[in-house]
Amino acid sequence: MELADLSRVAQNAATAKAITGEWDYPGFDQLLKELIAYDKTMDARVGRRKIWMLISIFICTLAFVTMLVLSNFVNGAAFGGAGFGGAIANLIVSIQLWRKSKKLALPEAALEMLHQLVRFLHQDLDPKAKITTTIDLSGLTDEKKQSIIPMQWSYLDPWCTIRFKLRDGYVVLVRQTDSFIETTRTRKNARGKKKSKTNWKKQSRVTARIIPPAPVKWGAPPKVDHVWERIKVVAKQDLSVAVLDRWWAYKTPTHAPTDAPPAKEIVGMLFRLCSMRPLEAN
Amino acid sequence: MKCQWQTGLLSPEPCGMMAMGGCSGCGQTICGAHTVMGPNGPACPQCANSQPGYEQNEDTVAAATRGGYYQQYGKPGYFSKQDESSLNNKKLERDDDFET
Repeated sequence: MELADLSRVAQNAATAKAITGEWDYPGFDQLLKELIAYDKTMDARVGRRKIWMLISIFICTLAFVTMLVLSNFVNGAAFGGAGFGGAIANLIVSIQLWRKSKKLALPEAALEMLHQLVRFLHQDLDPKAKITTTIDLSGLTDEKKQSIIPMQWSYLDPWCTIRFKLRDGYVVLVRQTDSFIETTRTRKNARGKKKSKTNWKKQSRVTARIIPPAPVKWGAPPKVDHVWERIKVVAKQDLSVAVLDRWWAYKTPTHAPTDAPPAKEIVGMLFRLCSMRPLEAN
Repeated sequence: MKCQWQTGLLSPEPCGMMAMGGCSGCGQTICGAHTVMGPNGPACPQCANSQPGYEQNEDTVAAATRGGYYQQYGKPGYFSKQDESSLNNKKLERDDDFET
């Protein structure tokens, strides 16, 4: 699905790489479907252009060798040079196209997670209330980059805040913050050549909270994993809000981890928080 | 008679539509929208999910998801007896460890 095939709302979201506003469930579901379809097209294009870039590198090498061979013949150098120049131009264009399409791609795991989350919960939503979202799909940009120590950088990406009302009046707020650490280590090998190695670590923190419509006495807390989860009740104005935090950690070499917390786990967090609601809420 | 099938995951509520018949598995009354046909006769999404030969749809998948959560995290309290029977979970666990 190309950008022009998307609805106006989805075009704006794909161009701005942000989903901000208030939505009803069918509209939000449709928007996410369109963005996922668009992202799949973009990913396929990035893959094709990457292959073409690799072919261009091969052609370039071949043209260079041919130029060296032809340089021994009369007029050979001119033909070889022209061929090599053409191959270089082709390589530059293919790299530019690959970079351009890479910039247009959206974070697939994030979109899939959001789509699954709203699909799991659509029957629980208050049909009269809207889903409020502040979602940043721009990923790791230079604005989010900070240097910690030499050769180590961190990125803080609070990319998702989603708020919706359940049909029993409780308001659910889910916030996800991803933090990345990029570490590059450089060493010299026995020949004195510099070798560098990059490692990426990602930590995703999801904070789920449920806000009651009126002051309530919360029930017994649910099971939590004491290593990765923390549950608490915090006072917010005259209400007490149940909050469950959970962390996920990912690690990959060479590139930033693209894994994201599964929607099922986030629903599990909400499910446990909702089981703290007092009986009269049912 | 109204459909007794509980819709939703976080705030389950009875469907409330006019029932067309009963589930061959658990006996609760179900409407046409929540009836899944299979080799043992009409069944509610929960029973259809747990018995072989029934086609899977959005409701049966939702029932399986909900049952999975309830077995993993469920505890007495919020959900009513009807919810519990609908969720088909007899053994409920309780964990009072609370970290503030």
